[in-house]
Amino acid sequence: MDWGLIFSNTLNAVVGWEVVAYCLAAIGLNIHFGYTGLLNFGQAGFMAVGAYGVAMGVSTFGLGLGWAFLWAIGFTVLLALLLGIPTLRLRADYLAIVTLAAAEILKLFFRSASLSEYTGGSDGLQGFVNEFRTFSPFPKTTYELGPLTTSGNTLWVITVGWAMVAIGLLLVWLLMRSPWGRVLKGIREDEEAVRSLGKNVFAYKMQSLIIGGMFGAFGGMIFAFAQASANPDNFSPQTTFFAYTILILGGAARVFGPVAGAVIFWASLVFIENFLFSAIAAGWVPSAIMDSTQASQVRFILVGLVLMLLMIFRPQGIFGDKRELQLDAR
Amino acid sequence: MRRRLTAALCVLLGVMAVAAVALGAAPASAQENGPTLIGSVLDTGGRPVEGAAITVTAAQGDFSIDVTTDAQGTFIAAVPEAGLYRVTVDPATVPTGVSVPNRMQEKGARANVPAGEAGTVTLELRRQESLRGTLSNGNEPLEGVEVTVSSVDGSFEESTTSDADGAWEIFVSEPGRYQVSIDPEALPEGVEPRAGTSTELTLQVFSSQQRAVLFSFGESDRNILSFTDQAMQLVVEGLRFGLLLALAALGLSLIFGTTGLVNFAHGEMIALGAIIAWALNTSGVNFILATLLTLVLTALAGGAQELGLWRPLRRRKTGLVAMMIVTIGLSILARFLFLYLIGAQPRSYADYVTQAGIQFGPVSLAPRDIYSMAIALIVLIGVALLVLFTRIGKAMRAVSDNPSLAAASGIDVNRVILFVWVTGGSLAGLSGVLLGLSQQVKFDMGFDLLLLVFAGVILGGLGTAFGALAGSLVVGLFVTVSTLWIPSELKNVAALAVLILILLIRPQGLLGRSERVG
Repeated sequence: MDWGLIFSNTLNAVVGWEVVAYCLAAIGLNIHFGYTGLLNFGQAGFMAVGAYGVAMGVSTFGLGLGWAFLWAIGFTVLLALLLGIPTLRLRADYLAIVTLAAAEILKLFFRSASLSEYTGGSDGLQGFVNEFRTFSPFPKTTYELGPLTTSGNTLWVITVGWAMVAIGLLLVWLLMRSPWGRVLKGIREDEEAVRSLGKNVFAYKMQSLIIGGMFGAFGGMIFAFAQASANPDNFSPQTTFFAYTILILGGAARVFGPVAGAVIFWASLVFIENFLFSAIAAGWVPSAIMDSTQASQVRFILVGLVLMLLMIFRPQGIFGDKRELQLDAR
Repeated sequence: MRRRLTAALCVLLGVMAVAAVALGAAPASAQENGPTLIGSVLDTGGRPVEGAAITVTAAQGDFSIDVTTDAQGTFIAAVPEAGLYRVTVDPATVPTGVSVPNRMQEKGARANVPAGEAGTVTLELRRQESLRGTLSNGNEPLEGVEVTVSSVDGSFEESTTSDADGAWEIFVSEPGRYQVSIDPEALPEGVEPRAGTSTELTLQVFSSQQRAVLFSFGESDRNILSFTDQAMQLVVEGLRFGLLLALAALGLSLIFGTTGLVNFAHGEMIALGAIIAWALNTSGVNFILATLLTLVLTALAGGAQELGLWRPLRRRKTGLVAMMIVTIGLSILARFLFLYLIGAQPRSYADYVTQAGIQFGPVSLAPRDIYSMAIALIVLIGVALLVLFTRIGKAMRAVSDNPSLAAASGIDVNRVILFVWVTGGSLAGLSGVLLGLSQQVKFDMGFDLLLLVFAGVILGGLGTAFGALAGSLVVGLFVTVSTLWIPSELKNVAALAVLILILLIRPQGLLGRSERVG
């Protein structure tokens, strides 16, 4: 049992780009679900639009990085409007189903062979990172700090990602202590009460959907830049559900909930995987019960279990406040 | 309370593991002659790399051995003991067009040899971007045809001729747009490019892609059905699919009607049915018997879910949104448990796999399809009659209408809900068993269907039993028949777009009562 290896892999995962990407997605969900009570199950769709917005902007349509970024944001807003207009007036469960369906539609389109000339189909779209990398202040070498290793390119993606996270957290903190944020929380607690005070609930929900969706799009961009590829399979419903698990784990309606959740989630995921691999290698687990492919599946069984148990026994997550979160649909 | 819930959860997991008992674990082949590392070297296109020199070094200690890959790209290295090894490839020995990624050159690949069995490792080498294809006229390969590839900006041009199998491949220097052409004059005697196809194509090659290029020759070999014949066939297939969707949708809708819960784990109940039936059938139980047993087991799973999870949660006054997220958790848990148990590959039942189709005019149907349509129809009518005319059906409708009023008028609401869960579980199980007949059994087959089931339920009106039935039929037909006009990979898009449209225009669904759904 090589504990050193297990811990160094876990540590590497904690500072990896996945944590940043999921953290951004969860910040978006925190605005949607934590503060406004919108059950958006289509965050993966927003992430896909962010990733493909930039990738297609640069690769397919030859825009500069800045324009591609703006174009991605434009499409994110458009998606939020398209999703929000029919569903924000409806009950929470309808919003959940529609957003899930919309994200799936987007994924199917990005995967589709008939559009692969523009989207790269199931292979994903590449060849858009060069301009992003020219801004990198880190030379292209391998960086080592104790057990941590990373490449210059990844380091640049992570730096940009954490900067986005910092801006996002600041924004959420400022917004949620503003009168605007209090209206959002009011909508979460009792929509009718807010409406009776003369607030346009629909408009507030739409603004929340747009802002949260943008953070989802930023998360998607980190996915694309870190892998140098926009890949449709990164944006399956599972990605949304992982972001939910992260949010609820860290504590919904808490500014730092998504950060804490993302770090703990990825650290546990990687630790469990490496631990099981080593346990199998050391012969502690008979291969009739579990082989190394199954070991990585066990993690996801646990994700499902943890999500259930959290929702049942501790819906406020690790750092949340129970009074903040009296979830109910009607 | 808390202890009770935990115990209940355990019971639930136990029931879900019923499938596991029937499945048994895959036998691991123990290695007789000492520890071995078996590896395969493939390129990014998944093709074997032959003749690559491989060095296997122990992570600790100074053991090292050199081997070469065979025609299948595999190598076998005898190692002194179980443990960790490092595998490196000599870049000088790999064929043209294939390169060893920098990371692998520096660090090699890690391989683990477990005690008592062979370790395996797969090395994926980077394949240079290329355009390739196989030229054939019918079944006969075209040899010696010159193919030219040039980049659109004119910086790259290369030609090659097809080999004895008609195959050709040209490696390009970088991703980009390329023009591929064949010279129609230089084709062998009697071979013509197929009418309506071009001998010059412009294609995008993406990073590390081996872009396949298709040139067609001779007469079209596809058996063209007339449009109406094709449409008739698809309508019948759509009806079949719609009936199977309706089975699952009915359960989902009844559960929503009586409890208000949108069950995102309903897809996994479909998969559970198919998986139990597959496990029983492939371990020797007659398919009919296996189906009946599956219905009982999935009914139990539904009932156990209600008793062990949802009833305690309702008693705790857990909100519906929280419960919806619990169903998401349950769905992830169950899906990966299925993956753990049966693996990722699609499975087929042992019985009724190959059946010749019977022709009814232009429509061809296998007997199993006819039977599954008949069974689904009978069951659906049966449930409809039950909802309409029996005591429990009346009670179900009363609970859907107003649970408190139903309870006040002496209806045991919890008993009704339990009945709905048992019925819903069994219906979803039957849907899974029958779907497994026409497609294959896969761990995520239920989740793939879930959105279509939702589409059916919402189209008909959430919570209305007959709406779910009608809605599913429409969705099944729509999804299947739409492949006449749109590529089949996008067929679900159409159904999901309809779902969103319906919510815009008529949120209560086709058969739902017009009430404010907000």
